[in-house]
Amino acid sequence: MIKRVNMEKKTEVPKGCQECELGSIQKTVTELKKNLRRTKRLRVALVGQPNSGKSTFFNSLSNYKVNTANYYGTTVEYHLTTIFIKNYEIELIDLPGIYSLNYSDLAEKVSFEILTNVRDEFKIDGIIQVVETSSLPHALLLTLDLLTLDIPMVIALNMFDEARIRGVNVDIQLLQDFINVPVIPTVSIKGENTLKCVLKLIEVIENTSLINDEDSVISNYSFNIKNGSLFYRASFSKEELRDVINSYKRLWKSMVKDIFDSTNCHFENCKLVPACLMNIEKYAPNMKSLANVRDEILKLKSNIIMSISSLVFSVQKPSPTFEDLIDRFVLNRFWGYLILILVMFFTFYVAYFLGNIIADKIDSVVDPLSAKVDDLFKDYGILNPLIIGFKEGFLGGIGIVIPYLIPFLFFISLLEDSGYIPRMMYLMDGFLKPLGISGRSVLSFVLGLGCNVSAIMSLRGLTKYSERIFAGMVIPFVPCSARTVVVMALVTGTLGVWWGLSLYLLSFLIIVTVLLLINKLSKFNHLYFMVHIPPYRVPSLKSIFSKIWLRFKTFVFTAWPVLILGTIVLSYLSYFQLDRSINNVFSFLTVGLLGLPQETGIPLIFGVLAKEYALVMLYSALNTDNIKMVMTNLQIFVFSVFIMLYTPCISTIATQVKEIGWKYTVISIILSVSTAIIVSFIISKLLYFMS
Amino acid sequence: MESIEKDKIYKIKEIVRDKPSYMNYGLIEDTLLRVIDKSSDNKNFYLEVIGFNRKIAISVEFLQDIVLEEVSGDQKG
Ligand SMILES: Nc1nc2c(ncn2[C@@H]2O[C@H](COP(=O)(O)OP(=O)(O)O)[C@@H](O)[C@H]2O)c(=O)[nH]1
Ligand SMILES: [Mg+2]
Repeated sequence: MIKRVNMEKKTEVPKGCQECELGSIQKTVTELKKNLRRTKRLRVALVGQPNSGKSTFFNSLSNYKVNTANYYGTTVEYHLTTIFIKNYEIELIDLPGIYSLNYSDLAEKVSFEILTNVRDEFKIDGIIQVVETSSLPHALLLTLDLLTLDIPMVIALNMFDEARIRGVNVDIQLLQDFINVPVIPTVSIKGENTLKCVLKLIEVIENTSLINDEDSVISNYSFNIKNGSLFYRASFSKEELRDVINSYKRLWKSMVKDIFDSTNCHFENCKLVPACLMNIEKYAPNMKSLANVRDEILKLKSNIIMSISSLVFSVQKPSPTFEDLIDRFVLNRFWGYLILILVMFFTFYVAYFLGNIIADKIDSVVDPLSAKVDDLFKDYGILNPLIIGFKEGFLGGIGIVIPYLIPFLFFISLLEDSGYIPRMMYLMDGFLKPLGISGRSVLSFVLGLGCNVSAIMSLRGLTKYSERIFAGMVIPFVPCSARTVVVMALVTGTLGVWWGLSLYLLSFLIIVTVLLLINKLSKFNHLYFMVHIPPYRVPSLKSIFSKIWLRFKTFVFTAWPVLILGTIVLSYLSYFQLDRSINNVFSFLTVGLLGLPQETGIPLIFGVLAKEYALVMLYSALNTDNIKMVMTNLQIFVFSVFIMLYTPCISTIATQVKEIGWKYTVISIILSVSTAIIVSFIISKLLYFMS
Repeated sequence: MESIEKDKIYKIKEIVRDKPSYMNYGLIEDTLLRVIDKSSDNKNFYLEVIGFNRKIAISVEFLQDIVLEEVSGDQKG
């Protein structure tokens, strides 16, 4: 049986933008405005399909930058940098990847909104379309849409080096003639020609006299005879193409105007109409005739693209290609899964064992230093908790970041850039479907092993809202680096490696159970997936480091400050001896249900701030360096199970609220707390009877 | 969809619904698809969209909106 997501959602014709799903643009725009109000600049957007090299292009220009910042919008992040070229102060925006102006996920939506300058408040002065040269025909889909925006544009035929190796040939001059836009081959990874693109764009902007509006919109498209004939043609000749493209542009714009006039969606000069049009089945299912007209025009669009491609683009490649050969191996029923298991195993190895080795090395350096600091500030009275708290929090962060998070992120980025991840999604999709998630969310779950915050943020790329919610609720069960630190110190360190591993196995089983459970109980629909598989690439260090930095940043700027703040608060609590009463409040859980020492109340509370705390606090609450002296093995294990499972840390919760909303965050928290209580209760009883 | 076989080439005759979304992935009428792999449960397909020089992985449910026609191997573009 097939269930459909979204498609069958009953929707009325939007009455105004506030009511249609597209209404949220106001927020994004105000946010952007806030970020940009201060200076008068030329704004240039880097637009292109995902993986076309936009960010690499962006970074290659950062030699000219004064500052680079990343803004997390309400829905998605985008990057801004300001560069100075030729007396111009250019604000460069790295937009999330899009395939066309028809968006299907949140990331695409943001790009769309910015490009279409939704309410004339955020004007883009120029566009650089970054194209993956090897699949130029695909990129032309977007090019044709961008042309309808009438914004000065330059096309960067990026990854030109790779295209050459893959036997791709492009007639640049001819392409330029057809679309009337400068086309420049670039290798952004080496910074080749990226500056040239910007210079060219400036030239185009300078030379653009006012766009001839009367010519660009004809009042009634209604298939007038001249244009109508276009629709009966499957291909166009070299001589015709330029005119045909212009007609297409006009047709498109007048259709947009027409649809605007004929719907109830009377938001003045609404620039979102193209998106409404693309999603008309979703937003206005009763306007089927418009959908038909649109499909006619799309047909024309594809005919144009095919005609252009057949004239300017050719590929000479052996059959099978080298990539085909690798794929045969990687997707093979036997070898493919063997590789998958090895990769998973190695990922886990990096996240767990490798981290532990590095952590030991760091400890041997840091511990004596830390003791020195303690000594130094012994007599600072009321300030002492502040200093010691800060130190503990800071070191706690270091203890997570350097040994666990960075090596892990390095390895994941390596996997990602090599092109293996999408293939992994394809291989795993079959196993995940019964759990209610699609192969597309695999990367997010894996990222969760590093930091839940960046994992949940990465869900933005998922097309289906339901899948985002689903994964967003369950990801907190994935043991992150901070939890790994706890497990390593408490369980592996005191009870042995196998106990530590069994804890991971346990959380894996719980994730599967929870997924199955939600899947059974909820109305969430099944998910199908369609993903784009990039070619295999030798990852470049530069790009890997910028990826690490992006994900690492979410930890540094969200989780770490909370960690530091929390330790300071905690130091003061114990300074004023408030910790005892808190412990009492929680003793029904700690002592009563789980059979733990009463002192574990405080660590549990602070574990909410950051899981790592639970550990730091446990040592200080029990006033010992040797846990085994004060807690039995059973207690240590139960405590760790509880820490591992109960409520996500505060930074994760904040991210959840932002990404999946209050309601589902609360459900997620209830879910994890109750799971933690039930599971650790069962384990404590079970282990008790076994011993 | 069991009839779609590995290593064969198909032409998209018609896309029944939601054309814009398929178009985003390069699936448009009259393009040729090469089946690189299909999963053992027949649920997922790994395809090359030949004219676009692109590869995609797609669930069988999505393919149900697409009418395919087999073309003999030598017609490959
Ligand atoms: N060979 C080659 N690889 C590139 C080039 N530009 C980017 N890449 C690689 O393509 C991948 C995707 O680049 P990225 O900038 O993240 O793409 P985005 O998704 O468009 O931002 C990265 O692994 C880059 O190293 C290029 O000009 N040549
Ligand atoms: Mg990018």
